[in-house]
Amino acid sequence: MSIDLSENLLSFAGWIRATRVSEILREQLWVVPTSQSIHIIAVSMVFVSGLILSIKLLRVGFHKRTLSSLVIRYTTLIYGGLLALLITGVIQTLAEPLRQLIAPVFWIKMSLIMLALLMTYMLSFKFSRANEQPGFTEARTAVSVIYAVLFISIWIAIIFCGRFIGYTYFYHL
Amino acid sequence: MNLIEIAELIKDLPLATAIRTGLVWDWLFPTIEALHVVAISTVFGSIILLDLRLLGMADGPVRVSAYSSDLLPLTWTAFFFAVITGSLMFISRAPEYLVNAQFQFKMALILLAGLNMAFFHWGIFRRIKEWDLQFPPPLRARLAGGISIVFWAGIVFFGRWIGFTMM
Repeated sequence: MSIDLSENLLSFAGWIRATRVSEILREQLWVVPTSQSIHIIAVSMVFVSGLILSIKLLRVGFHKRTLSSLVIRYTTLIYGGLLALLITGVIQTLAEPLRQLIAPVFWIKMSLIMLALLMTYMLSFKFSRANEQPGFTEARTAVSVIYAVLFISIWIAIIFCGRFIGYTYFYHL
Repeated sequence: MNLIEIAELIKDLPLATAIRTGLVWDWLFPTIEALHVVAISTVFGSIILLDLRLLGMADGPVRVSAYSSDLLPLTWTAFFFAVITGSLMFISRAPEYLVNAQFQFKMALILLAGLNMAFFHWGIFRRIKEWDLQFPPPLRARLAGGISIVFWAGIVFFGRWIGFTMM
């Protein structure tokens, strides 16, 4: 039995759109723009935190701070920011399910967020107590450079996907 | 020649036309806009981190001067890119942006945020050695941090609302 995923997604999005909650969110014209604004503020916190951690991993800045202290501080901000992104993202999806769910770039964004979350967890797992460990040095390694470049590239790609969701829908209409 | 007429001339520049029409590349405007969001996110995020430290909400006894010297190069580099990408978006529909109330509010808030930053740096920041590690910092520094957060949140809000009000 074959399952047409896009067909199922379309009917699921249509079902969400027909709910009372979705209707109310659309009727209140300020909800989506306000939710998107808060979404961008949360993106800022997450992105800058990722950027600072990448800069530290590349050893090109934040020399007065230890890697452990930065990891503890900024992974916490990333988790908090992601929670705000989840809440505002759900509001936007409930209000405009067709715009979000049927855009392939939306699913690419979700996959990249999962990957970024995993990389954040790995950073906090490996480095949050690293400076207390004997023999630990903050010297730049090939692995730390690759990790930093990948980490920040994923966050940039997430922002691009987020902005392109609206345009993908527009071009499909 | 008034401002609107100058804006009309700017709108007709080949670069502005290419961005607006997408004839050279469909995704030119969305790409510039996405780069603008990356730049603005960096500006806003880095300023807020410093503001939170000024408000006394930060991780441990880190010097304000250390926060400032770590974060401000990031802020200014990103601000440069935000101005470039913002200008490219502006020229594509200059007359419409000029009369858009949300755009005007955004520009006014950027100006006010800049003035607030200037007052802070030429004011209480000159005596930073006296309160570098003070927790919470003096009232004037906390005020500057709080006002900055309000202005920059407003800039992000009005920036997003431009997209919903430009027809």
